[in-house]
Amino acid sequence: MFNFNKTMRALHFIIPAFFLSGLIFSEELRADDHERFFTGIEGWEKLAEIDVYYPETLWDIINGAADVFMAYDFRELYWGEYINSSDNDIYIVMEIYRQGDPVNAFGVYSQERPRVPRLTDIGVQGYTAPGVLHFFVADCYVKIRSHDRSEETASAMEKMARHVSGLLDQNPEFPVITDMLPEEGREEFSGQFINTNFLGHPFLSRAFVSTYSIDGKSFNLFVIENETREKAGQMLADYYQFGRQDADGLSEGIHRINDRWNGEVGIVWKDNLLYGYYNLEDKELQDKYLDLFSEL
Amino acid sequence: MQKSLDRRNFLKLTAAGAAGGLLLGNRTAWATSNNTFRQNGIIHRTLGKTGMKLPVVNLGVMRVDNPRIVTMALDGGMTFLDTAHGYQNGRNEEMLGELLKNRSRDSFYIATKIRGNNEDELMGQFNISMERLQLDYVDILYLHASNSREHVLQEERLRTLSKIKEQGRARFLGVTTHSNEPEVVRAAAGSGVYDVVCPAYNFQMEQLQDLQQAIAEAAGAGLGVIAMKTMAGAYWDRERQDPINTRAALKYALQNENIHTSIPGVTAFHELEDNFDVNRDITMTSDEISDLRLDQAQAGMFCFGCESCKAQCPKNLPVPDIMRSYMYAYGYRDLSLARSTMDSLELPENPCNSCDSCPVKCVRGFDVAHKIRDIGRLQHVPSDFLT
Repeated sequence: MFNFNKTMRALHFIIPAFFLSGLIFSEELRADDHERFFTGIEGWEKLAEIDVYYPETLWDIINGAADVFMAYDFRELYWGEYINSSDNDIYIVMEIYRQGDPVNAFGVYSQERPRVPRLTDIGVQGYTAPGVLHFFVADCYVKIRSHDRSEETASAMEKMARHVSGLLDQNPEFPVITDMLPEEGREEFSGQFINTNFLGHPFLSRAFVSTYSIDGKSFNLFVIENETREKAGQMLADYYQFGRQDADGLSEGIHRINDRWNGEVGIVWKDNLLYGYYNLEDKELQDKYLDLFSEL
Repeated sequence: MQKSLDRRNFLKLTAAGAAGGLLLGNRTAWATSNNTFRQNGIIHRTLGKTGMKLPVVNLGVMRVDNPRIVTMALDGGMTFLDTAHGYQNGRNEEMLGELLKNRSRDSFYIATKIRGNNEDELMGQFNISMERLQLDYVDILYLHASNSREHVLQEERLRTLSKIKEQGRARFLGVTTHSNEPEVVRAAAGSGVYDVVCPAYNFQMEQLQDLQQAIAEAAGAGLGVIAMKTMAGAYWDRERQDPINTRAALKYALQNENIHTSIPGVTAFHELEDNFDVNRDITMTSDEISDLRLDQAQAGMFCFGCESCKAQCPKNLPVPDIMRSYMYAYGYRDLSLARSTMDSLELPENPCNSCDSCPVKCVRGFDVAHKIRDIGRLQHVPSDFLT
């Protein structure tokens, strides 16, 4: 179940940690010194030009996929290529996407993470697949790829990844929000951060959601962090309004929204946080989680 | 009355129209056809020689992370889902596979996209996609993000895609493109292999006129045409503070009847509800025209089909159809299509001659009688000069 100590600690520190982390990493990763991320690798030639793309030009390099990164507060992409010194047909491409903050970096990473990833110990979390090494660290999502499946190429990709990860954060940790939901029944690697349009609603944003499976029942729990208690209350009021329910005199505690698209959504409002469930029809489980969230 | 004109003289004779055409630049030009019809109140078009009858707005699934949006789209009358091997690193196809396995296969159409340089890469991606989708076949299999004639026509790609089609695992083949679109569309149309093209298409494209011509050629050759990126990026500014009227942008794309359907991406229910509305009414309001900031010369060419003129004309002329033909001639410079449109209307010669003055008050301020007189001259141009 919950790691209550960690969660309570998170409640005290989540807001300053969240905002400060973004500022710190933004300052570190200035566009004019991105070259240092593309280190020299023995046996490989780095192409002289490292391309930098911004929100208005991201489309030029990744086309329609740009929309996904933009939804997670994309700031800059550093794009570089290496050619094998003994076989110029073999190349490695490294893309470093700098998002608005570490939570958004996790968010876009979690959008693309396989359901059963082959984990690597690089960054906060990363995985490999044939010709692929992806990870996130600090406020960056790093994608390294090659068409070549040889061990030599895989080794070079790993060296590049470790170099970048070490520069960005020596002691990487998951964003606090990813540790704020219960552990019992949580499906591994199901956690995602949804920055905008959570549950398909423009008024719900910055949600961490996981899938749970208990007694053969699959459902979702989530937590949404707001900057202030007032903003959390406004978000809840907007949801009430969407559900055509009376939102007068809303107070902290348990709420049930009649969401015509997503079914009943249970929510516990606590200070700047909204905890909740959806896709959950079992009344006992509903009450269990509402009580659990209320006790935090 | 001059009975015979050539192509050059037709345009020269109607100076205002010719000037309008030049001013129009590359923005508005509309084909006409009889390919628009309603089913259960929803506007449909046939996707070229595939014969698929599709709502004009369907669902781009690329960024959907809530499967209930897909459910709502299908329950709301959309029938065509667009995904790709690479979307969300495969999670997009997996989500669709889980959702669609509970639906009758004949209740939806689906397209996916693969990319690669050789058979191993293409076939490998396709096999994985089919496992994720849990389907025996897709309706359209695209070569993803092509950007040149060479890319479209590379022999091994054509051979591999054809092989998949022969195996019955893809009913039709297509190509998507969001760079160098006219070249790619023309290459696909001339290939004899592709059935569908899916280019980026929106009111802000710099090469829109050339793309419209290429699309007209592709549609004329029987290919289905599916527009993507119809919302033109959704914002006017780099800072993304000044949103485009996306409903207007979508309607704008659909004014071109050579665009058989569209696949705007959706992540919120209200966006989907907007698209449902467009599926029932693609008529542009004057506010929507204004919102797209088309300049006066462009707007002056652009009949948005409100049809308020029809009741005003004492001869019951199909004024909106004539205006579209006018735009086709002067905006698009495609006299052949303009002529065929006029011929299909079976108008009498000089239909306005018996009226001393024209009572039609166009909400766009068009001088309707003048435009009808100009476009009417096209009937005297020998067909040989129009090709």
